[in-house]
Amino acid sequence: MRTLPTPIGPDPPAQPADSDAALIGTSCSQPQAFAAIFDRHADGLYQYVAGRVGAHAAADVVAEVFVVAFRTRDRYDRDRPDARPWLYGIATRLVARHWREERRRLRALARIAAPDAVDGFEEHATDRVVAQQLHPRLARALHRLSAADRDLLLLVAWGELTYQQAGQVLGIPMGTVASRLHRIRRKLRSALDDAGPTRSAENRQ
Amino acid sequence: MDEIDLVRAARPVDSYPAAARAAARARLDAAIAEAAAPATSQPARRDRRRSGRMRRAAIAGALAVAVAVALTVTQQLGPDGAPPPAAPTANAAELANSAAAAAAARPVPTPRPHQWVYTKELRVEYGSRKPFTVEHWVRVDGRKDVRPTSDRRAARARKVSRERLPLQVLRQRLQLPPSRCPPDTPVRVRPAVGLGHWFPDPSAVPTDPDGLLAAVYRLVQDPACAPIPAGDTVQDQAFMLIDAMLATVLPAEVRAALYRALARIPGVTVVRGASDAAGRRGVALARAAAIEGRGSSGWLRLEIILDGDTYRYLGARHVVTRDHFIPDTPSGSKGTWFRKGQVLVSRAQLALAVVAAPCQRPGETTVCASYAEVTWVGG
Repeated sequence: MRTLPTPIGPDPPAQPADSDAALIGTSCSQPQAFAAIFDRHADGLYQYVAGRVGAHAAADVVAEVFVVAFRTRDRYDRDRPDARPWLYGIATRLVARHWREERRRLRALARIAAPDAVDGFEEHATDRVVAQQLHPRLARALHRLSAADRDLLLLVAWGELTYQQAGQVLGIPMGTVASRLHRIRRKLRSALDDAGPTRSAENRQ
Repeated sequence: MDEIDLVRAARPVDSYPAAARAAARARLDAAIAEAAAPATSQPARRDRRRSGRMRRAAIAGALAVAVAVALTVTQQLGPDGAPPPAAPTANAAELANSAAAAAAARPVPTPRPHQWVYTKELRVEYGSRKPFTVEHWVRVDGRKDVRPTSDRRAARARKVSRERLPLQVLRQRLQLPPSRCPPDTPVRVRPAVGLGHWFPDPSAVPTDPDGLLAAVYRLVQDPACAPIPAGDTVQDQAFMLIDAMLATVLPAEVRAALYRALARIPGVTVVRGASDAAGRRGVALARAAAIEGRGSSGWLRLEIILDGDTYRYLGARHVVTRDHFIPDTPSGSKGTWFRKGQVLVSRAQLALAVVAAPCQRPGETTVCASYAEVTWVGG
């Protein structure tokens, strides 16, 4: 005789008791279990976010990520033992929102300061932090990518997600991730080659 | 090197600043606490719709209820229900003189080095849901102290309380009792109780109010300690340090001088009808704290509460005197509202005594040792 299916569908595959998925499951009935998710992932997540929005804004964004995650934990797909794609996905959306708000703020400022300077301000907003921290040529190359490409690249390079995890974050299949990253590589290479000395020379500095 | 590796290598290496990490964790803890609390638990979906501001208001509301359980008032009003008029400083001097006279007349035994000082306090702290009791025994020579296991609960409440405060400055400011040096600063090894905790030579502590106040001002600006938090003032620090001193065993003449010194701090006024964490009403020496800059000074009042008749020290509290918003980041729209009448921290001293042995309570001589000699020295 077959066992009756549970009302919510088949049981998720057994996960190690200390996996993120198990913790998040526990936290649905015992919310304080969720604190362990913060302790595990906050530092890595901060690195990723700080790289994208700067240390100052990162503090707020990271805090928001975990509050958002906590409030939506009931929708977490517990087939995925590692919560990082989920958290980095929330972070990536909040990073985008941060830049939207920043651009809006700068536009408003620009309107007051110099009505014609809107575009300059806007470019400044997306570029500023990256430019402060990266080699200018690399910053320019990153800036030339589309927002979607930049997200994918930085999730892999700075978030240290696998191709599969990055695909989960962005909702694209793994084959698409691989081909898109291939294209991104090519774009970066040509952007860097455009800009004078070869990247290998720069790399050896 | 692959282009992606190039980007990877260029990742800025910022380690997560401890203060920002603690603040983020505290925000999550607040969300967790809210979800865990039966009174405020909501279906997750509805939860998500509530704005951050409403969430915080809900927390503040829950806190206010918890505080109201212990306190008969959340707002100090005069007997007629009107806000107390700004008392002239002369009143503070008058109250301080009365308190000093009462303290000087109250005999205080000199504790011997092998005896123990027992303190019992009831506290309400920002973020803790209900008042908790802290009992503590310290040997007079400061070499041993005993904290009952229940103290772990209190420590947790204190930790939660500190972590939920939105600003590092506030976190340092609102500790009761304030340590001489802010946390994380090495404190010179000194006796844990009495004047010796603060003064290298207790016998040389001035007993004239002006000299004592000057000594207190020097202490709060001690270069061995971390500098006073930005936006804080020497006067506020001195006020709170004197509060911490009043909560321990002191020679009668020093206690008397401390009361008079309090009234000499600029801006100290009298607030009638203040009640401590145990709900005991009294009269307070109070000071509007110049806390945390940007035009926000005067939204928090520090109070040292004395018994209205005997002028015995009852406790202390910090009360919000007008609505005030502190953003999480300097430019942020997110943050925490503090509401007028909210009591952020409150403390009631329930017992201060010299006992013969650790884990011995006044009046409970059979619990620990039969030879108990208990002398009340409450001021």
